[in-house]
Amino acid sequence: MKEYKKPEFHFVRNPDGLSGSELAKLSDDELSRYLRDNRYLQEKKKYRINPNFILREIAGEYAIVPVGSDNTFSNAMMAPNHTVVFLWKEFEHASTIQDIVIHAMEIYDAKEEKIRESVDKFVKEALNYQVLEEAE
Amino acid sequence: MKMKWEEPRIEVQKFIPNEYVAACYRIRCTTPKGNSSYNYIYADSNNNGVWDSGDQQIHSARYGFRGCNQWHKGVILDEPPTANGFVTTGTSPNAPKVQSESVFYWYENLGYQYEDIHVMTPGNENYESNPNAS
Repeated sequence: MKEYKKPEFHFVRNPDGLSGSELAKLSDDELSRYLRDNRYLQEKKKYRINPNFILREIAGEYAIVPVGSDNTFSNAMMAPNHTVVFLWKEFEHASTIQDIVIHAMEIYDAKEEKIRESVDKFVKEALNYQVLEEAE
Repeated sequence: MKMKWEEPRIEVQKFIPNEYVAACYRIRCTTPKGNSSYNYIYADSNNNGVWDSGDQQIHSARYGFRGCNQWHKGVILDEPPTANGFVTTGTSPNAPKVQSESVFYWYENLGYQYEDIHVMTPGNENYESNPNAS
């Protein structure tokens, strides 16, 4: 018997910048190697918000409140700007960085490189402070 | 219209526990030497512990005053009362026969029959900490 998994799909950036048609031309072995490449596996990682933090909206203002007792910010409240609020809501469900970049490009007037750079930085720092965690 | 992308930023506001706790004292208002009569109260404006020309007169009573002899139950202070002024019988520190004593003074309104300024003699056991009063 196989375990049932809820269907989901995510965007994953091609670390080598290969187009779809170029990927399609790869042999099975080449594609298999490509998919096992460390850079591709990095891009495939999904992240989600650590449940020890919650985002609250109070009179139009947002606040991130730590609800766990053993985290770095147990005696703090955090005031996010609207970009963080967007990222937070996106990462409430396990998402890849590319998921976020694609969605942000639909909403925000900014170049992909700029958004990616910001999201990469946010993910790195949020992981460091355990606000974000890797999802299965 | 698409929104402007801003660099993600979170301001962290730390809650720092306030360890300062003002104590509450129970103080009896009496002037020095058994609630003797004085005519003036001076603040120790220059904080040198000596009544001199640098101190400001804050109360006068031509025919004299004494402490109201009431226990004041909720005087909130950072530390036990220490001298912050003087009661005197004259206005000139160098004049002969003028008496002066160090006092702790504070302001409190106890009703029309009392002055709003009160005094006590520090170290006179006329006060005690009274944590439940405030």
